[in-house]
Amino acid sequence: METVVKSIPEKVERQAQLVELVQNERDRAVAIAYHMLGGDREAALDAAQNAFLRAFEALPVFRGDSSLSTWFLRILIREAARLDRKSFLRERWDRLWGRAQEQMVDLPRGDPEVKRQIALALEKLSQQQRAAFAMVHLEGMTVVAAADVLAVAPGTLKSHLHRALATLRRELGSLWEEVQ
Amino acid sequence: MTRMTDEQLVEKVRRGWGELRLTATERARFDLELWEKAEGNRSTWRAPLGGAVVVAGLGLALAVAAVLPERPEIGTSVSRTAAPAEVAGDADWDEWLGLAVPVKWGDVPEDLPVEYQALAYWLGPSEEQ
Repeated sequence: METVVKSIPEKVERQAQLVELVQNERDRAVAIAYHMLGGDREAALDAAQNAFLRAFEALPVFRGDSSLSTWFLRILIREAARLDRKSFLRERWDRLWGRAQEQMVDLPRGDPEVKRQIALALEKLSQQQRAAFAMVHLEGMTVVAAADVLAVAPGTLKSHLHRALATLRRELGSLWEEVQ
Repeated sequence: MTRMTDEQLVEKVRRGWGELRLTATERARFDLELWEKAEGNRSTWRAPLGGAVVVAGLGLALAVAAVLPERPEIGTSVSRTAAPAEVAGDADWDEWLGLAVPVKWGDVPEDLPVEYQALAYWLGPSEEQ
């Protein structure tokens, strides 16, 4: 593989870039991972930290084909996907609700039943659909930027968003009826 | 019954699902844990520079960054031509991201001053970026 980093200053510079990256991307990384990992706070923090570590490890061979931010978010999405195993999430979710009394303080505010239904609906999305939904609709990224992260064409990303919304609309229709 | 708009649906998910926003304290804890993990992994990185120096340098750079004016954005050119297909396996993606390539730090001298890292940070990205 081509070696991009040729000098010590460049290596040091890239380490410093990672520090800047942590400052710039920490909050967004945690937020995206949180949505991709079924609202599991600890898993989201782990995914974000692991993504930064993997980025730090791989920084010397970063080719600069994309911006550092886009490259990092790709790593984050991959890292979140690694953690997003259905059985793993189901286990965590069951444990969460099985211990709801003592875990309640860690849950986000809102109706627990609504949250449960949304969680089940989000689980029905593919990882790409969930990532697209989280980046664009929940984190306010542009379609173009999110498409770059997932390495797909903007049209493909719009398709992911369309399917994600259709699934959520179908799965969460009952919630809408309740407020009519 | 009226049809729920996309905006209403998204807002319902956003409010119902909640968000994870870190407080200043949680950010500090996150960073500390991150550096601790980095320290713990140094043997696998084969870093003769020494994990402690790296972590100290990162901390110093962080401190310097907090008091210096903002630097310009790093280049945003994007190329997805080398991206593997969506259905590609983990190995393909890892190689594309540069994650599967062993990192070698052998040519970084052990006596590299920590201050140099902060200076490098201040100087900003090179022209090639």
